[in-house]
Amino acid sequence: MEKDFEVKKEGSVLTVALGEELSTANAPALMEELLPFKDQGVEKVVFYAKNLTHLSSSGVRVIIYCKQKLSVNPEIVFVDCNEEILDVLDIVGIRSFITFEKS
Amino acid sequence: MELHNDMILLWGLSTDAWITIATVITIIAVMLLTKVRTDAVMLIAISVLFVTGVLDAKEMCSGFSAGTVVVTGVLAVVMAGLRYTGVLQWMLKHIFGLPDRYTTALLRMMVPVSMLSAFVSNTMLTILFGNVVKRWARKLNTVPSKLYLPMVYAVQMGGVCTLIGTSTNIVVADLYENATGKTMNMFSILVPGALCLVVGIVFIVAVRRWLPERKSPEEAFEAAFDYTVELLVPSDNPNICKTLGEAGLFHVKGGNLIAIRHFDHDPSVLSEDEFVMGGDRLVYAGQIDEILELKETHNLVVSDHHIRSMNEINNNYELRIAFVNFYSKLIGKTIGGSTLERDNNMVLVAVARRGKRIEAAPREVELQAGDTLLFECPRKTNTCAEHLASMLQFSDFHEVVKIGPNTIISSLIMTVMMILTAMNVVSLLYGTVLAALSMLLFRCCTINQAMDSISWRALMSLAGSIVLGMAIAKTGIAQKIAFAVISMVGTQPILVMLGVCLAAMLITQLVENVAVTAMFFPIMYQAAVQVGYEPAPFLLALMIAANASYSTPIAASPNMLVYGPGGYRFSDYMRIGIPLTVIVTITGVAAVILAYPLVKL
Repeated sequence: MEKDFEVKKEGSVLTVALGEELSTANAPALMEELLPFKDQGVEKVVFYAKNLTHLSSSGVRVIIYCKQKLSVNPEIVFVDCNEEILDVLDIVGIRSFITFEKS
Repeated sequence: MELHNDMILLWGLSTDAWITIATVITIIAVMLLTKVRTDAVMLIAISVLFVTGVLDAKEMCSGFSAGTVVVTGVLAVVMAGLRYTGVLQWMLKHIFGLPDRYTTALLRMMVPVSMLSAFVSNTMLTILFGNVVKRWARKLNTVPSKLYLPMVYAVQMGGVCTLIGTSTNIVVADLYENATGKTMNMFSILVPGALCLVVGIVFIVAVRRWLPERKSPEEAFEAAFDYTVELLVPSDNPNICKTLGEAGLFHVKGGNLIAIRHFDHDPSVLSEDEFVMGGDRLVYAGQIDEILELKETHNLVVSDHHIRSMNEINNNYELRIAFVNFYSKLIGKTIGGSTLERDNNMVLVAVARRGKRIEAAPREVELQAGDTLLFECPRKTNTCAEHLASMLQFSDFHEVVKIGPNTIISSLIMTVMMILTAMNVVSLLYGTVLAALSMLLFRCCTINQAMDSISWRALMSLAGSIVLGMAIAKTGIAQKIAFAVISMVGTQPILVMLGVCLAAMLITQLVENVAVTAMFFPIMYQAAVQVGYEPAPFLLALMIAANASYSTPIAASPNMLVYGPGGYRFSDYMRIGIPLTVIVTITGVAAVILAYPLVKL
């Protein structure tokens, strides 16, 4: 699958612009891109999810990784998250540690 | 438009006869080779006979109003009265006791069971005694398989001793009354039946070493390391976002994690570093009771549907063991692929097969007859409900019945019914209807309990069998076969009786014995008439032969009921069942001749 995400770091904020899906097709590649930022003082990870319509367990694994392993308890923010994705985050039980914002 | 096929075609048989023969052969093939319900097979068969003009409308419907069908259905209500007032349970408790040796146990079990079976439904007795036998096996330090088969053989042999002991006897008595206008007494078959019973019990005790020693599937659930349990992570589980290793869910006491499935079933590698997510299904193999402790210690649940909060789970559930029936529609399927759990609000926890570990998630195991399943069910689940009982047989059937005045009343009703019918004061039909009404009137069982106790499927197949028997008689097949038997064995009545009995005995090993009885009644009747003898003794011998279904688990309901709980194999029934069948049939014929000297017409 063609890379459909973009990762940028500005100071202590890591931004991830997501495409239509975050699944087994692209989540391992995103994880690869995130690994170099481990223990690099990231305090906030912002996912731009306006186009995101499919989130699988592989994608959830990436989000949990950011929260648990990237640095010490960074803030996780989802921007423009749609209802279906909110439902998935609810089911897997990680909605409570995510902040939701509108652009 | 109705078809008429009177043209004589081949070997002196009309088109109607050949259609009937083809139908019978098809029925036997369908029953043997498929899992189609017997009642459906019978109803389709008589529908075929009707549309092809073999039977007219009146004949087609006659099975449903037959005395046999009504008596069998009404008798189930009488049995419900005895069961729900604790009469049967009281008898079990006080008659059985606790023997200290295996041989004594065999006798202490078979004698009272067979005596009770003369008056009580074979299936109901097998279910009720099953639990007692299980407890005995544990106390005698043996396996249930050493006791279950003798129990069901005793139940069946005892059932033959009276007209109401088994529906095949009722069929014969009813058809005899229709054919001759004469009635059979409740105890007409007692002497030959009792002789067969004695010979049968002596034989079983003598060859007790042939009884198979199979590992009890239920014991395996209690203490084995060979089973899998699937647990679910609720959305509010405190371990979410931890790795399996950090959460203490990878290495657990009493077992191992063998698979993890996330909410979307995406493949994931089983690793200690895998994150725990809400909706995860964790499949463990090991000691069930210890693994189930994870429910308490790690807030996991056993569930097939997603649970968002632990508050959704209450304590109104209990673990129940079930076995896959021989004709269950679940055979060859997975529980995950069926709607069983959703329809019955129950959840599959574990699967075992002859004590061997099944390396798969329980819900994905392709089921076989006799598989043992552990379910989490609501406490009030009616595991005897017909739709559930047709697929699964729950072993932990238990009823706490209060012994009280109604226990005496229901016993009295039953006793009066037996005396009145035995003394020919009232007909069997009148007696059973009166007893059933009395059971309801004195509240020995509720209307719902009465209705639930009637096996409508059995009644439908009984009605179908009777119509089929009528077609066999009407089309001249019975007469033709009777002639064929006579031409083979001569006109010696004992040989004729024995010949037909042996044929019925063979077929009853593979086909439901009620159907065999209905099919063989006209043949035996015609054979007796052709050699010039009163048919009654011949028909009594047929009762014994058609009931001698001991050689396969599919031959009779009681045989099927112990197949799973006993952990038996198909061949286990043959080892002891084949000689028992032959001995009982020959003894039956001999006993009938001794008890009822043959009388010329």
